Formats: sequence, C-alpha cells, structure tokens
Amino acid sequence: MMAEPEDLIELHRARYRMVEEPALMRVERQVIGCDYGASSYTTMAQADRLAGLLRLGPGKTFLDIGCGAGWPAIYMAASTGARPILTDIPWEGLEVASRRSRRDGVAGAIVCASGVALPFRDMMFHAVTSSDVLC
Amino acid sequence: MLRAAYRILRPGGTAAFAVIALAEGVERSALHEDAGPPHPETDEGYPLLMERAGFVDVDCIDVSAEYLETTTGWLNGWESEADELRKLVGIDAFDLQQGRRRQHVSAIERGQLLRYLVSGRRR
Repeated sequence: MMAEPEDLIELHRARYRMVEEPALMRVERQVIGCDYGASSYTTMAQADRLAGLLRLGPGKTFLDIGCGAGWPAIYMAASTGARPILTDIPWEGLEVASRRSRRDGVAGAIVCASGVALPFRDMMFHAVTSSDVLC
Repeated sequence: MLRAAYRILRPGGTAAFAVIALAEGVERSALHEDAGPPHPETDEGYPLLMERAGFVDVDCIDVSAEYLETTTGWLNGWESEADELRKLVGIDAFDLQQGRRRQHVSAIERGQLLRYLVSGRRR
C-alpha cells in the first residue's frame, strides 16, 4: 500500500529529527554536494539551473513550497541575493531550515503551511519553486 | 498546488518545479509499491497541467539521467555508512529504506520514472 499523506508527514518528521547526524551529512555531501539535511534528488548544478529559470537576484522574493530542511532554497537565496520564503508542514524540518538560514546569513521567512492552502496574498512573489513535491 | 502558485505570482513572475513523473504509458500499478515517491492521479504531463493552471511559456527539461545518478548515490552512500546508519535508524528501518531505494533505482533504470525541471510564467 502506498503511504497516506499523514504517514508521509510522520516519516518526514522522524527523518528531520536526525538529519544533522554526521553520517547522514557525509552521505549528503557525497550525493548532492551539500550538507543542508536534504534527502533530495536536486543536485547543486540543478539548484543553480532552477535559480536561473526563476531569474532570482537581489530585490526578488521567492517562495519554496515544501522546503523540507531548506535545500535548495537557502542555497539559491545565498548564491543570488534573493529573499526566500520557505513553507512546509513538518515543523522539525523548518527548525533545521531556520538554523541554517541564520548560519548562512540569509534573511527570509519560514511559514508552516500546506502547498494547497498558501497563506499569502495574490501576486506577492517574483518566483515560486518546489523540488519533488509534485510527484 | 499549481493554481495556488499561479495566484501568488506577480504578473510576469516565474515558477520552476523539479518533478518526478511516470513515463508515458506506464501505469502506477506496473511499478513496485516501494518504487519511488507517490504520483498524482493524472495521465497528463506536468507541462499541460501548468498550462491549465494559466502558465504560459511552459518549458520542460528532462533530468532523468541525473535522477538515476542521485538515487543510486543515495543507495550506495547509505551502504558505505551502513554500520553507523544501522545504529542511528535501526536495522529494520535501514533494510526497509535500502530495499525501497533498490526498487526506486530499478524503476528509473527501466525508464518507468522520469524527472523534469518544469517552468512557466504568469501572464
């Protein structure tokens, strides 16, 4: 049986509680070249490509739907100067993302919200992204 | 979610999503139940879904080769840290996770699962 949405959220919660463990960080650096606490298929080269498609840069605000622990949105913000707004449901991932944003000096905002009921006003963002949420 | 994304974008604003999709003609039931993430109940591709949500200049880049590389990388990476990770997550969870990854890799190798970067612009 395929996991129900609530089961998936619980699986993510359990994973985010341990993403900063050294062994997991070593694997992440080896596979996608970063150490954000991700289990993503988005490589650094693809994150750069996404940032280009989104035309990110200083003065732009972008939303990452289903941000997990912050990869690749925090990286894209740090490398382009754009301001990120991060959203996801599991609070545990948002805490990891919050710590990483502070550490990288990225000034954005983190909002606990579902991708289908985004609590933002119309026409607020220059760009919107997500990685492996639509699947 | 695509309609919600369109609503909050400024006119001229861009959306770009990394997505995993079933190859054309492949039924979800043809895949092992643990092969990769769940998929939407639609036979339509993401570019068409984006156009239906209102996006224009929709483009789609196939990154399936890199998808196979990273999925294989996670499988092999966890194997290389097996002793440490078994202690961390437990032996049963480790074996379950790696079994899922093997099914996932196998589905990508067979061309059943694909990954794209799909982008579009709000009018």
